[in-house]
This record gives sequence, structure tokens and C-alpha cells, in this order.
Amino acid sequence: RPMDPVRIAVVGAGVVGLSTALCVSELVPRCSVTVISDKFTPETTSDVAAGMLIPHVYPDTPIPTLKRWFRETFDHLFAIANSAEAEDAGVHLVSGWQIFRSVPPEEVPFWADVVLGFRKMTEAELKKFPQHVLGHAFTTLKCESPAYLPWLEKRLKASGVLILTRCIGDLWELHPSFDIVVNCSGLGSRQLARDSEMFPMRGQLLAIQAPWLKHFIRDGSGLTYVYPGVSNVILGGTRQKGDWDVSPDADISRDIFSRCCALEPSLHRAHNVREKVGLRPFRPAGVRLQMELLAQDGRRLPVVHNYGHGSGGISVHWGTALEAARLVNECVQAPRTPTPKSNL
Amino acid sequence: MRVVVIGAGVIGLSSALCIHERYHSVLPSLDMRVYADRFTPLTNTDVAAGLCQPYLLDPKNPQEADWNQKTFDYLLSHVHSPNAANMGLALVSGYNLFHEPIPDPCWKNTVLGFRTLTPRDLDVFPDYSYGWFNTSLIVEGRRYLQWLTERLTERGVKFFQKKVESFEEVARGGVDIIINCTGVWAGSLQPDPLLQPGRGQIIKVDAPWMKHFIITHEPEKGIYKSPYIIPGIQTVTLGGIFQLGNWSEVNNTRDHNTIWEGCCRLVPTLKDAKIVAELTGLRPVRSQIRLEREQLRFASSNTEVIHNYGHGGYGLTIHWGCALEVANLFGKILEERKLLSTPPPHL
Repeated sequence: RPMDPVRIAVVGAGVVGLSTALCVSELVPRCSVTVISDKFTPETTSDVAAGMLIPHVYPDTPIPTLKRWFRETFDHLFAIANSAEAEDAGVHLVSGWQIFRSVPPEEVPFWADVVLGFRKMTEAELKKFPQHVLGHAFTTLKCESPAYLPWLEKRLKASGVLILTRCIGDLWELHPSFDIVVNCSGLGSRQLARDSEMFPMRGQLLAIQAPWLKHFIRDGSGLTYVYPGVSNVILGGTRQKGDWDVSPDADISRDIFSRCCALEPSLHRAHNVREKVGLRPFRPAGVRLQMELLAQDGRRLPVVHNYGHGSGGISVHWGTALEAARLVNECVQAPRTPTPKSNL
Repeated sequence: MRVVVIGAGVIGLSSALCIHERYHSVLPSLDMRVYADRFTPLTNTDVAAGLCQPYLLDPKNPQEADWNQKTFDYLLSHVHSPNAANMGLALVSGYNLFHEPIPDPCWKNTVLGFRTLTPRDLDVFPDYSYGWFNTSLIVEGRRYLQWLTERLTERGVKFFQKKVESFEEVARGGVDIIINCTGVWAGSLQPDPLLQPGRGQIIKVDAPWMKHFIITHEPEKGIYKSPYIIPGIQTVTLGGIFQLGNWSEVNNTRDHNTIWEGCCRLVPTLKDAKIVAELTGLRPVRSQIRLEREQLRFASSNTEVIHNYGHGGYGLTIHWGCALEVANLFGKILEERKLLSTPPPHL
């Protein structure tokens, strides 16, 4: 009989899950894709993130690969930003400065030629930041998940991808309904992939109204930042290792506000402050992007993992989604060992 | 010492403030009033997008380049103060786009971070092949006029809504010095064949994702005849109309379509932007700004007039440098009349 379509489940509906599902549905021939998650926008980790395209380094990912992931993501979003869909998709260009209190070890980051117009700040520009000795000016993209994720969902539905709300406790629950599982469950992989290396890197931030701010400011390592977006300005942040508390801490909010006002004094006038907390899906080695063949009691379940993006999920999501889709495709093309199917 | 400033746009109010700040402490008798038939939000300043950017070509009067620089430096020094938002001030970066290479402008070192566009920058704008990127300032006309009005009111300057028909009527009221900031209507007080309206129409939209200004140029057509998009604090201004000699203050459908099509071509996602307002203004166009003294004789007394009008489409861009020069001329008048014990400060 003709080949049945390959049934693929994508676990997770944050930016990684949805983009991976889209790439899989576009790359893998004759497949049916279902996105399964307990949380959807605006309740995913991605929704909290400011969405600035500035990548982070992952220890186990070689720089050329990381750069490729970033470039693919940047090019994908750049095309959206310049199209008529930009507003719907929540993607726009923004310029600004990354500033340093002491000369950083690397003069030019690996991603400098991916963003636009990267250059050193002039002396006149640095006058704005009297405590800083050096800075970079560039133009990058901001990708806001509360708009981008619904936009991805629309494209997924148009491609015939199914979307299911369900809480999965174990990947084996997806067997035998699905032939391949793509695991984009972020922090959920601690349980679902039994990955004890996964832990939250808690981030608290403030969303405020300050519409006069048109530039981003990022201090050195990125712990303190001011990121103007479509309908608010995001002030951050924190990096609290292993902290699962999702309720905002008032002292931390005061500290964030004070650090950001030091960079941008006009913030004192900002109003309508809302506190947010997100738990970044942190993995010390970085992104886990690989196939694993689960086997148990004679059952087999191929899993493509795509999780552990930490602070850099939005910055590299499309590049990792493309690679995950390639891994799925390899898995599909590999000769299938016949196993009894108990579906209809 | 009775001083009347005629005109309550940015030129009138900034001239008034600059004079008052510099001289009120050394001239206790200073009594300053502003006469105008239009106040904010009905002035031409209120229509302006407020981007600080001089024209592309060097000004006919080299002093204007200096006044532009002084204005930029003055506003930049305030953009990081707590007053910035109240003044309607913000830093903004953006693009000037051309169809072919052109020489760098004389103001390239006044603005911040000036550079030419890279090929990847130009990928954003497929219709253009050359351009500049720099950081400049916006000063929103309406907010800034409100701020100037508050500062002047604090200082005891009084405002009167009246249409002045002649310098003589003001002089006969016992006024010693008149500051003439009547903009595009200066010709009704004293004929000036060099002064014409440069009619502009703009559409204000809700497009808060636009963080950059984009100004396109067709140098053969002339300034501001090509689409431009300038973000303000709350709304974004779309424009691209400059009609010399047109006095109509009414919005025009054909101009609306020109602006809308031109700007949506530049930034396709604007098609979904909500229109918040549409306005027409008359730029006071002149081959160069008239900034000079004139003595008028009515009955038996001399009345000093300082003219400060004809700022075209760059009034906000140049206003403070002009106000400083007006204050200098004011100081000379005081000196000549021996009203000061020490020579006035000259800035």
C-alpha cells in the first residue's frame, strides 16, 4: 500500500516549537505535523522575552554553526520586517548601542557582520554614557513573541499543521500515535528528556511606557538593558541560576529600574510599570540539537531534540528549526524497520 | 523697556525666551509681550514633524550652518536632562536615501554617528542605491511650544491673541522693540517678494514599530517632494509634499494619495497603520532667513524691529541659533541706547 504520511509530533509551542513545526512541515515530504503543548502564547517563556536579535554563545556549539544559526534567523526575520506582514508578525528593525565600562576581550563579536552597520561609537556618541569607555553601534531586529507566535500559528494552520493543548508527562505517551517526536519543550526537557542538566535561569524584567525611546541600550554582558519595542520598553534584567520562582520580586524591580535609569535618565518619567518573570531554559553545554532513538520494551521512538536555548532562543530559533527539520528528514529517509502499528 | 514679539510659533517663542533669559536680570524694566493671532496647536510649527535636519545643500548664508549647529548642540545638551520629554525631545536614528551617490552634507559632523549605507542597509530599500545613516533629534512642535509657553509664563511674559495689522499700530502703543516672527505671513506687515509659502501636507499614523526616520530624495524635484517617514513620540508623520506658492491650508485628497502611496511603497507594512490625523502647513520659504535689524520711524520716535522669519522647512532645526542671534542684536540695541552699564553678554 502507498506510504502513509509520517506522523510527527512537535512538543512545545514557544518560538522554538512553532518555528520547528513550520520548518518540518515545509521540508519533510508527506508528513502530518501536530504541535502539542500545555502552554501557548501569551503564556510561553518566549512571550516574556524582549526578543532582541543579539546571540549568545553556547559552549558546545562551534562558532561557525552558531553564526549560521544566527544568520539564518536574521535573514528570515529581515525579510519579514521589510514586508507588508511586519506589523502582524511583530518584527521590526531597531538601532542602538552596546556599551562597555572596560574594554571587552573581543573587539568585534562574531555576529558583527550579520547585524547591520556595526561600528564603534564615536566620542560624541559616547558622551551619552559617561561611565563607559567604549561602545558599538548597530541596527538589529526585534521579534516580539506575543505577535510572532500567533503569526506562526496562522501559518501552521494554513499548512495543515494540527495544534493540540495537552500536558505531556513522558514522551512515550506519544507512542504509537506518532512516528517521530520533535522535543522543543525548553525547560520541560528536564522531565521529558530526563535531562538533569537543564535548569531555569530566572529573568525578571519591567515593561514600561516610554515612547520617546527609539534606541536600544545594552550594557556589556547584557545584564542591564533597555529595549524599546512596539508597545512598550523592556528594562532588564537578572540571571538567577536555578531559581524557579515566577512571581516578581519588588526589590529586584527597584534594582533593575535604578540600573536602567543610570544608563537612560529620562526613564525616571516612565509610567505604567509592569513586572514580568521568565525562566530561561538553560543548559550549561548549550543547545541540544540531536536525534535520540528511545527504546523500551521492544518499542522504538525516534526523538529529535531541539532545546536548551537559554538566553538566545529568539536569536537563533530559525537556524535551529531548520537544522531540526533536517534531522527529522534524515530520520524519515532512513529505511524503516517494520513495527506493528496499532493505529486504525 | 517694552518689547513685543509678534508670532507664537517656535521662532517667536524661542526668540522671546532667549532674550528674556539673557537680559531680564540686567534690565529690570523689561516688559515683554507676545502678540499672535494663532497659538499652539494652530501654528505651522505644530504641523512640522520636528526632525532636526538641515537641507542637503550648503545654505546661501553661511551663518545658517552655524545656527543649525548651535541648535543641535543646544537640544542635544537637553535630551539627557529630565526635561527632555516635556520639551518633546528625543534621539532618533535613520536613513536618507538617494538614487545615486551625492557628496556628504556640511552637517555630517553635527549629527551623531554619520555614515554611508552599506549594501545590506540598502536591502531594506530596493528602490534606492545610496544613502546615509545617522542619529539626530526630534523636537515635537506642539510639545515644545507648550514647554516654551510655560517657561515664558513663569517669567511673567504675557500672551495676547490679536492679529497685528501693522508695525505702526504696535509702535504707537508705546513699544520700544518689536521682534517680527510672523513666518509665512510676514509679507502682510511689510511686502517681501522673497517670501513664499511652501505648502506641506502630512498624515499622522499610529505605527509604533517605526523606530527610524526615512527620508527619500529626488534632488531634481526639490526638497520634501519625495516621501518621508518621521517617527514622533506618540505617532509617526508621513509626508512628501512641497508646493511653492500654494496658500491653501486645506487638506487635499490627491496629496493624501501621493503621501500614502509613496510611504507604503517605502515601508509596505504601513498599509495597516491607523490614521490619527491629517494636517496642512505653510513653510515660510525664503532664499535665506531674514534675520536683521530695521529702524522704523513713526511720528517722532524710532522703533527698533528685529526681523526673524523665512525659515522654510527647517525652522525647528535652526530656531535656537537664530534666537541667540536675535538676542545678540537685542543686546546691541540696548548698548546703543545706553541702557546697560556693562556690555551685554554675546553668545
